[in-house]
Amino acid sequence: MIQDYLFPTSVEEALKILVKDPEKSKVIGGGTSFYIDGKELAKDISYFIDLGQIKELGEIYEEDGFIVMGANTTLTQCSKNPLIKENYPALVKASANLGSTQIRNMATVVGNIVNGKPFSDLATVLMALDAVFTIEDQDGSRETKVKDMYHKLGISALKATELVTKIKIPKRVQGEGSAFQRLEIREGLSFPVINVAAKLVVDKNIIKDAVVTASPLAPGPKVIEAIGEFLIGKEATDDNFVEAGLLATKSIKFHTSPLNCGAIAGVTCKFENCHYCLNPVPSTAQYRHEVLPVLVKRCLSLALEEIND
Amino acid sequence: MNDYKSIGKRVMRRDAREKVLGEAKFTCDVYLPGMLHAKVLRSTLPHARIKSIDTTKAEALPGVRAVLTYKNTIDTLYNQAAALMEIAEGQTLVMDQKIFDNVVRFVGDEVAAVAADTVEIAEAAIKLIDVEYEPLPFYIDPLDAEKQDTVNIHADKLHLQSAHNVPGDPSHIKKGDIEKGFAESDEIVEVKFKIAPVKQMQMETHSAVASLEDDRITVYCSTQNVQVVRGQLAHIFKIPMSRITVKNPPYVGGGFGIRIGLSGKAEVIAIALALAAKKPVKYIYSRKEDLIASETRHGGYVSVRLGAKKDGTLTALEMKSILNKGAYTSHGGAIHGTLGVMNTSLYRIPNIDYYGYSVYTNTTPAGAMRGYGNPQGNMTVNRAVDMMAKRLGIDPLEMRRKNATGKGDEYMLPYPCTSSTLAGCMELGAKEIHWDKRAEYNLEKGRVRRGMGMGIGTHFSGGHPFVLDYENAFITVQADGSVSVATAASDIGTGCNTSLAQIAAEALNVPLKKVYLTYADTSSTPYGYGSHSSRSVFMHGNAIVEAAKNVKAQILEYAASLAGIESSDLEIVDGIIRTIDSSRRFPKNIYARRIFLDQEFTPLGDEEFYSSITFTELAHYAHSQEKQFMGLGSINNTNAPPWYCSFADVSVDMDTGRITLNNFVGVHDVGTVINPDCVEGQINGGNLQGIGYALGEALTYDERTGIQYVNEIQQYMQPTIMGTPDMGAYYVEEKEPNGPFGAKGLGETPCISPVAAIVNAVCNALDIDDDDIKVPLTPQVVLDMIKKNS
Amino acid sequence: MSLKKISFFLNGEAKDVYANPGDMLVDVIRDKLGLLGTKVGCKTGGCGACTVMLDGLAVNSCMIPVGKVAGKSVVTIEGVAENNELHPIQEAMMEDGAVQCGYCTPGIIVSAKALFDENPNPDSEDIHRALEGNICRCTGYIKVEEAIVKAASNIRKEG
Repeated sequence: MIQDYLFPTSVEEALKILVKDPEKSKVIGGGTSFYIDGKELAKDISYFIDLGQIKELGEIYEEDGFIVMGANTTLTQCSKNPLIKENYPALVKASANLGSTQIRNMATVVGNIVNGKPFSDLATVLMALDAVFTIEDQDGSRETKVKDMYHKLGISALKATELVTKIKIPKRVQGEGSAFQRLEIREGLSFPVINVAAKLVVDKNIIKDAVVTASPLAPGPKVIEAIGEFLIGKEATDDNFVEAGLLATKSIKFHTSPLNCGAIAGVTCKFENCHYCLNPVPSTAQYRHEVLPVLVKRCLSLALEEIND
Repeated sequence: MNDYKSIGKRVMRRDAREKVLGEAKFTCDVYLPGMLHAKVLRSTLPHARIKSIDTTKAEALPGVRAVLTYKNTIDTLYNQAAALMEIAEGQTLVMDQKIFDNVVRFVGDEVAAVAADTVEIAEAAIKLIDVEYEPLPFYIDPLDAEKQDTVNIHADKLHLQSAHNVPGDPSHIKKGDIEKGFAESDEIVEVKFKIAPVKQMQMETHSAVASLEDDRITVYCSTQNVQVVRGQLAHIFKIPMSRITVKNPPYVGGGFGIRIGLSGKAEVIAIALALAAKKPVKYIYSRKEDLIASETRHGGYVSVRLGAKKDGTLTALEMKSILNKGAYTSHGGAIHGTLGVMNTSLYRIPNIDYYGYSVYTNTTPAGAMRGYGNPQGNMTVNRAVDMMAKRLGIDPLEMRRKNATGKGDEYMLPYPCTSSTLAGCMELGAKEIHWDKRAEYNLEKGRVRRGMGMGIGTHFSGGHPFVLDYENAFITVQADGSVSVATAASDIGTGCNTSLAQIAAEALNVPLKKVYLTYADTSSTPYGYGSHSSRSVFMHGNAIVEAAKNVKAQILEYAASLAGIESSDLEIVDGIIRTIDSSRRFPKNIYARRIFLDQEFTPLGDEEFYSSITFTELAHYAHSQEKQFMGLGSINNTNAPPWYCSFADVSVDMDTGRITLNNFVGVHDVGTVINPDCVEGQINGGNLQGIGYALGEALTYDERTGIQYVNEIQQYMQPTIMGTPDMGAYYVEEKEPNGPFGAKGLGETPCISPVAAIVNAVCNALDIDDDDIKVPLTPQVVLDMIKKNS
Repeated sequence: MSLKKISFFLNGEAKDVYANPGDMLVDVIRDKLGLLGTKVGCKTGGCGACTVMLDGLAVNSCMIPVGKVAGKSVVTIEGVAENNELHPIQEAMMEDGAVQCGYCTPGIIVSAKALFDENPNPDSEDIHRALEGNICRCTGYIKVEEAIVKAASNIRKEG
C-alpha cells in the first residue's frame, strides 16, 4: 500500500530517500509504462519518488562534445528540442512517433530504457548514437552504455538504489547522419514489429563509420556488427546498403511472438525468455528476418539523405 | 427531390450539446446512494470442471457485502442474445448459459462475483477466492472441435445440437441444380478464406447498475434493446416483466452488436449481487474483460466455388462456412444463416448451394457484430467474382454491372427487392475512386504496386422474418401542444433518436422543435426491439409514422367537430391546423385559455371565428374538455434490402507487405436520407471498421493454454486517426416503398464490403489469383502472398 | 489506507482532495470530485477517453497517480467551455456531426484544445498527431478532423 508520494528537489535528496527502503520504493519519471503493466506491482510499493521537481534533471544542453539530456526530458521535449533536432534526426523521429501525444507528454526518454522493454524504440536509436547513461547512487556515479542497461528480459540493470540522471550523446560530427525505421501493423499508438536505427558518417562518399542497431531481440537492442565491418571504407551506394541489409539478417536472431506468457493471464510474467513480453505484436521470426534487410537499407539511405541535407 | 420540412435536413443531433460539454450520462456515470461495486473472478483455464470453490476468506474481508458462485446463484438456463425470446417459429432455441456454472468453457468464463463497498475491496476479495479445477480437453479451432473424437463442450445439451459440438441448426440454402450449373459453365474459380475473430471495440465497456425497491428491480445498462433485456431478466430471475425496469441512462457508448440483448453478464451479475446484498450494485467491465470475455465477431472458414460462362454470365455458386462459435451459442444459428442468405443473393445466379454452421470451441463466445455474418461471406463471394472476371478478361465493375441483383429480381432473401440504386452507386463509386486509372496503375511494376478493388453487398433493415421483429410507438400530444414520442430505440451513437424525431415531425407536420422522443426505458415505451439489425430508423420510424397517422386522425376529427366540418376539410401545416376552405372557421371561445405563454398562439382580433388553430390551442382546449390525443402505431411483417458498394485504392510495399490505402469510397443505397450528417457518420465509421477488419484487427489465442493474446486495447489494431485514409461517404437515393418516408437500413452496411474491396485491390495490385486468403492482411500475410505467388 | 491531502488547480479552481497518492487521477476526478465528463475506456493509456490537460499538455489521466499533480493545473472537459461559452471546437463538433456515441468525445475535445492552445494553425499532420491517442470507433475520424479544421479557422478569425 502506498505510504507516500515524494517530490525530492535534488538528486542528492532523491538518493537519500531511495536508499532508505529501495525495494519498496518506485522511482517515477513520467510513470506511463509503470501504469500500463505495473498495477499489480504497485501493491508492493510504499513510496513513489517522483523526480518531476528536480530542476537539474529537466535540462538539455551541450557540454564537452556531448549533448546532455536530463532524466526528466519527456519524449515531447526531446522531439522538439533544437539541439536534438540539429544533431540526431533518428532520435527526433523515434521520440515523435512513440505512443501517442498523451503518452509522449508524460513518458521520459530515460524511462523508455529503464523499464526494460526489449522493443524500446529509443534504446535502439540511442545505441546507434553511442549514448552514455550517467547513473548515480549515494556512493557516486558511473557511466554505462545502452547494451549494459539491460539485466535480463524485461528487467533493467539499474540497481534499486540507483538513479539514471542524464544521457550524454556524442555531438553530430561532420558528415554524420542518422535515421530510424519502425514497422508497425497500424499507424499510431502501436508497438513495433521491428525497429532499426542507423548512424552513418561519410566523407567524400566514403563511409567512415556505420552503426546499425535493431530490436526486439531481448533483452535490449543489438548493434549489427557485421554491417559496420562491411561498410566502413566502402562507398555510400545503394548496392552497398542492400548488401549490408542482407548481411544483417545472417548475424542476428529474431524470435516469433507471441509465444507464451503468464502476464497475459493477468499475473506478472515469470518466464525467463518470454517472447510475448519480448514483443506483444504477433509476428514470426521469419518475417522479421525477411524485412530486416529492407529496413536496414532504407535506414542507411535515409541516414545518407540526412547528411546531404 | 422533395419538399420535406424535416426529412433530409442536416439537423443538429439533439445529444450533441450534452456530449461536447461532457454532461452526457452513461451507465458508468450512474451513482446511487449506498451503491456497491462488483468485481468478477474469471476462469484461467479454457475448459475445466470446478472441483471445489472456497469463498470464506473473501466473505470475511471487511466491506464485502455479497459473494456469489454457482452454488448460491439462481441457475436458470438462458441465452444472452436477444434471440432468447425472439426466435421465429420452427427454429431451435439453444439456451446454454447460466450466470455461473460448475464448468468453465473459456479463459475468462465467470466463476464468482463479489459486491463490496469499494472497487478496491471487491478486487481484493476476488483474489481471496480459492478455486480448484479439474482441467478438461479444449479446442481453439472449429475444425478441431467438430471432430468426432473430441469432448462435447456442452455434453448435457446434446439434444440442442445438430452435430458434434454444433449447436442449433445448420443453414442449407439451395436453388436450381448446382451440378448442372457447373456443367454448363466455361470457367470455375475456387477460393477459401480463413478469417480471424474481431471485436466490436465499442468505447464503453459493458456496464450495469441494478437497484431494488421492494419487489421491483431497476437496471441502468448499456444494452441496445431494453425491452428484450427485460424479458430475459424476467426469465432468468423468475420475476414478472412488469416489475422490472430496464433503461439506458440514457446514453450508450457504442454497440456494434455487442449487446443485442444482455450486456454480457453486466445486468445479471449486478442484479444477482443486488438481490443478495440488498443494495444497489454497479458492475463495469474492464477493457481486459471486454476483450477476453465479451462477445466477438465469428472467425472461421468460408469457401466459394463459382462457375460462369465465357460472356461473364454466372451459372453456379457453391459456398460453405464453418464458423467459430466460441464457448456459448448466443446468436449462434442466425450468423451462418445471414452469411449464406445475403451472399447467395448478391448476384443473379440460377444454381446455388450453401451449407454453413457454427462450432463450439473453448474460446471467447462469438455473438453479433455489425454485419452479423454478412462480411465473412461477402469478402469470399466478391473475391471469387473478381477472380472470375480476371479469368474471363472482364473488368470487375463490368462483371458486377452484368450480374448484380436488381430491383424486382428473384433472390434468396425472404422479402422482395423493392428498391435498389446499386447500379447508380457503382457508377458514382467508380467515378469517385477514379476506376478508369486502374489499368494504368497496374502497369507500375516497381517495389510499390498499386491496385484497385471493389465489393458490393446487401443486407436487411430489420430482423423479420429471421427472428421476431415488430415495433410499436406511442405519440402523445401534451396539453401545451408539444409532442411526446415513445419508442424503445436505444441511441447507441447512430443518431437514430434525432432521425426518428425528424420522422415524427414530418409525419405530423409540426416543427421539429415541438417533438421530444423518450430515451430507451421499459417503463415509458411500448414493446419493441431497439437498435440492431439496421432497423432503428426503418422499424421504429415505420411505427412512428403509423402512430402519427393515428394521432393526426384524432386531432383532425376533434378539430373538425369544433368547426362543424369533416376531417378532410382540414390540413396541418407547420403545427397549425387550418381549414382548406378558409371560410370554414373555429369559434373564438376555444382560443380562450392561454397558460403556456411560450407556445404558439393564433393572433386574435375582434372576429368571432378563425380559420386556423395551433397545436397548443387545440391540445389545451381538448385538455380543458378532459381529452388527450394519444396515437398508437404498430408495424410488423416487413423488411427491405439496402444496397451498397465499396471501392479501395491501395499501394502494396513489395518488400515489407505493408498496405497503404490511398483512397476509399463507400456508396450506399439507404432509400431516403433522413439526416445526411448521421448517414455520412455511419458510412465513415463503418468503412473504417471494415478497413481495420481487413488490415490488422484480430484476436489470437495461445493454442497450448487457450489464453487470449489480445487483452489490452493497445494490442488490438483498430485504426487510429493516423492510419485513416481519405474516405468518401456517398449515397444514391430512391424511395423504398416499405420504409418511413422511403428510408431503409444503414447501421451495419458500411462495414460489410470494405474487406472485399481491399482484398480485391491487393490481389489486383499484386496481379495474383490467390485461392487461400487469410484475413486480416497484416504485412506478414501479404508478404507471404507475394512470395507464394512469385 | 493512507490518505494524503493533495492540492492542485482543477479547471482554474484551487482544490484539496484527500486521496491515496497512488490513486489514478481519473478516479479522483470522477469519484471524489464528481466531474463525470472524463471517461474511462481502458485504464492503460490506450484509448484517450480520459484525456485531461496537465499544465497545458494533453495527458491520459488513467496513467497519472494523483500525487503527481500536486501544485499543478488540471483542465477537464468541464473546464473547456469558459463562462458558459462553448469553445470553438465544441461548436464545430456539434455543427459538423462529429459527435456520435459521445464516449470518446470529451477526450477528443480536450486533446484538440491542447493542440489549439499550442498551435492555432495546425496542419493535417499536427491534427493527426494530436489525436493519435484518441480512439473513436463511431466516426471514422472524418467529421472530427473536419470539425478541428473548422474550429482552427474560427479561432484564427476571432484571434
